[in-house]
Amino acid sequence: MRTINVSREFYSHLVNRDARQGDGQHTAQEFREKFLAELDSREWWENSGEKISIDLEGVETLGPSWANEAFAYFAKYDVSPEKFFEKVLFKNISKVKTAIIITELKAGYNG
Amino acid sequence: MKLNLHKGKTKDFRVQKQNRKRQQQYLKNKKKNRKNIDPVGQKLNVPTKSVLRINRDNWDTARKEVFGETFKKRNYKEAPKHVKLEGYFGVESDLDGFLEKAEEFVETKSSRYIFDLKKCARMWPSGILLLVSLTHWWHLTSATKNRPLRGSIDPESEAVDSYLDHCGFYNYVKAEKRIRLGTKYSSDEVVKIVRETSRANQETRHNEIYDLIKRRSALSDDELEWFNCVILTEILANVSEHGVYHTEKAETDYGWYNLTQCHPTHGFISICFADNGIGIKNSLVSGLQREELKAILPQYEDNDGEYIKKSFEENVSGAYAASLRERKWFRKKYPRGKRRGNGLKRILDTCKLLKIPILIVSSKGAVSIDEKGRMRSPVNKPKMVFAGTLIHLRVPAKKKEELEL
Repeated sequence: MRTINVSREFYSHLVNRDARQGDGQHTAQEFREKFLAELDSREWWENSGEKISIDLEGVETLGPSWANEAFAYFAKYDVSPEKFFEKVLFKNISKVKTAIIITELKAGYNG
Repeated sequence: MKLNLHKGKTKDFRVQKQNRKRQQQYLKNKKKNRKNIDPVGQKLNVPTKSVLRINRDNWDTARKEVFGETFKKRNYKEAPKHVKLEGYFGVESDLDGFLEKAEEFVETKSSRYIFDLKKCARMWPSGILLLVSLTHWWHLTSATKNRPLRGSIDPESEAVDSYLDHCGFYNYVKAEKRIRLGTKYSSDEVVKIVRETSRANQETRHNEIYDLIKRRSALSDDELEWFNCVILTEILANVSEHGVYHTEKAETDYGWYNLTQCHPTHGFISICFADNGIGIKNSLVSGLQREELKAILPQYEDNDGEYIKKSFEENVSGAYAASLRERKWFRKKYPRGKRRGNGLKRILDTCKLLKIPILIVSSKGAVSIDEKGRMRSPVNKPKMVFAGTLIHLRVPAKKKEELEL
């Protein structure tokens, strides 16, 4: 199983959804396309037994817009929060950041 | 598949027919009245004349027209205005008094402004940002070089003058007469006013504000994380999006401001953000959701407060990437996945969780929400009370005894 160490491989201040937001740097869109490309298919969520691990050690800021663009994007494949956390395993994540991700997954899924 | 194709064609045909009808009606009315009948246009006097129905292809054109109209050049030729600011001035202590006073002078076109602070005992950060962003507004909208940039600030109160100097006020508002005393305020308690003209500084400002909150607020570790991840992040995204628009045209002319000040004797930290954007209502009625909002909130009326209240709801946004409802059988739904317009809703929910009162003043309206998440009736004013949008947060501060420990 592949592990992504976000602060080391990407950045520690995760706030911008896309290039139009904030300073346009280290965007969620960029992260998703660079590190989560294989997740962007129905096949991966429904039939593959693959999992991915995301290590948030050293990540101080995780904004709702960033979480929405990076993770709730996959709601288009009818991914529930339970299914998401089953396939995407987070390490060193605080309860606040978990709650932010769940809120965004729910908002995306229930839309 | 066949059925879907048929449906698609029918829908396209209907839309084309509707558009043709609208176009014909528009041309007919235009000829008749020699005026743009578009409600946004009527409100702002022309802006979206080339855009009847806003979509992602013409969003930028519509938005630029609204910007052009909002910041159109004006002649400041009216008689000098004498503005008396008395007592405690700012939303921190008296929202109604602040709005009443702002209504007196924000929209006037005087050639010169004299701010009399003789009886002003305290200028709260919101009052300071009102004057700073108003100065910026004059600079942006004045047709001639004789813009009323230099108002006289004449505070007899040493404390007020000293504080204005300390927080960076005089870097943006030039005063002709002032006392010039050394400061007696601690730099540990303030993030001074900076006009942000570049998106690149956003993270630096974020960290400065968060450092002060970590040092001086009474929030627990979890609450600090909520504050950092949701409130600060979303507000900064919002002000930088609305305050630094058109940067390709004149980067130095636009920007947004922040002033964060800890008031240990009053027991709270005042965090103020101000942008010189088009305001929440103009943003919504010139965005993709305009048609939906028009059906709920009439645009001819002075209802900026109602629009601010609406912006707190989920999926309401004036942004380019705002969600659009799609027709699905009997009712319209937002598409799954990517969505915009949840920022203010998230801020509001988190403020309620952390018991932080929040207040927004935008153009001609205001909405305030107390620490229990209860919203006061939106305030709608006939005149502009803030040139842009002001967001104010009141974060509980550590007690003096806790700081000494």
